[in-house]
Amino acid sequence: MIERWVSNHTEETIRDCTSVLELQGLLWESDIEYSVIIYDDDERQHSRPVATGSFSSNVIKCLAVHPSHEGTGLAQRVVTLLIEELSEKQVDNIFVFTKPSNIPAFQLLGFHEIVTADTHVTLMEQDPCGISRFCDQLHAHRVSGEHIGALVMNCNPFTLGHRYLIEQASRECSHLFILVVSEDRSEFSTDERLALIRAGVSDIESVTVLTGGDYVISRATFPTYFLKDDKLVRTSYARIDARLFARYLAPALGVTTRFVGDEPFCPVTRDYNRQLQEVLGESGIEVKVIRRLEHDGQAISASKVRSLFAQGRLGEITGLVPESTYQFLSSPAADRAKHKILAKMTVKEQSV
Amino acid sequence: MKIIKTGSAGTLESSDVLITVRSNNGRGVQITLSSTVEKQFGKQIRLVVLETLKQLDVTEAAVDIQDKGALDCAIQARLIAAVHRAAGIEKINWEEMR
Repeated sequence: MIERWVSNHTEETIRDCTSVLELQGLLWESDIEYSVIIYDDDERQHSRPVATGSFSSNVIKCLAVHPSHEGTGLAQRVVTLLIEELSEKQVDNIFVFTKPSNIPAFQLLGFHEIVTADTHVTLMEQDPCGISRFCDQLHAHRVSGEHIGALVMNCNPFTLGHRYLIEQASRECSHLFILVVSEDRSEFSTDERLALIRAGVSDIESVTVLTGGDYVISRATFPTYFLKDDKLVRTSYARIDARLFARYLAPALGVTTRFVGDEPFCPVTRDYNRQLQEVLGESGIEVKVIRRLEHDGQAISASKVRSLFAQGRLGEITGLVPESTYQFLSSPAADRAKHKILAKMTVKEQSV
Repeated sequence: MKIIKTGSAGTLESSDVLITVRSNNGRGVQITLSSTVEKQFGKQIRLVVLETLKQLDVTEAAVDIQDKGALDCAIQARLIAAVHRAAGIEKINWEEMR
């Protein structure tokens, strides 16, 4: 047996990982940062990969063992190596999305089940008190009132469209919690997004802005690899996210209504909202859809703002964002985000 | 010793133990144990952990133990390493420990 640690993948290492993954019906994911591959023979020309596992941020993914080597402790070895590397990176908690049939195996590896969506996906975490500690933190923000609302937002960056959603939602409840996706994968950093939301709603009294921590799952975190059917991936993602909200976040904050923005032309969002309605409905939480604000006959979108901002067309943004966001975008502090947007735009153009 | 971040030591291999120490401000010491020999030695493992934490002067920590049948001395060593990492102390002075 030979172990290989890979932090910079080549075509060869990806091929080796994929060959094991495919035997278990899994797919390779493009956002992988680090992988472990175990080969069956010390001599290179005869050796074939028999086990692999990877992570992206604090999520372990793409874990598979060759059928001929199942039950020999290789999965244990791979996860141990991944945990070692992750603890070097000072990660507080480690997550894994897996099939519900793998729950016992991951429990032996020290993981605890958080939530399961049907027969397809389970989310597990390493910290035995992770979700309960987060709920305790949320609980400290509880307010009394009859109608407590919640909005989950990314706001990349905060626009008048977001402001409109918040205003509409807060009118329909006594207090509104805004849970911000805290995963740092957007062009604007989590801190920037949070600061812009806080500045943008500072005049509305009945609103509290909180970070969603590790428990507001974004579409970016959710692995696509073990469910090849794209529709199934979307449904499972929505159901995992909805179950987490219904079982943990909503009770901790006392939420009675979850608000979502309407996206008439986006099938992904429409599907997500439908799943949300179904799952939250089971827990007695109402889901209310709010029509988005239009500007010159078009819904205000953060992606439009990003593209105008990156092109330096600040003048055209004034009608789309509040003063606080405009101030930030026209300051040098926003340069970092501008570079990130431009980098992403170039990649897209090249791939077309 | 004050726990300021998450630190871990050990492996999940047979006869070893993986210990993760996290900060637990205001809640004292909390131990979660999962062991392949829990029925036989669960009590003893907890005792070793509590005793070692006391020696290290750790009064607040969430300690997660994934034991695969490690001997007491291995549990002790892994715990000492994990606590030091979680306290942000790079160098461990094994000489000083008795």
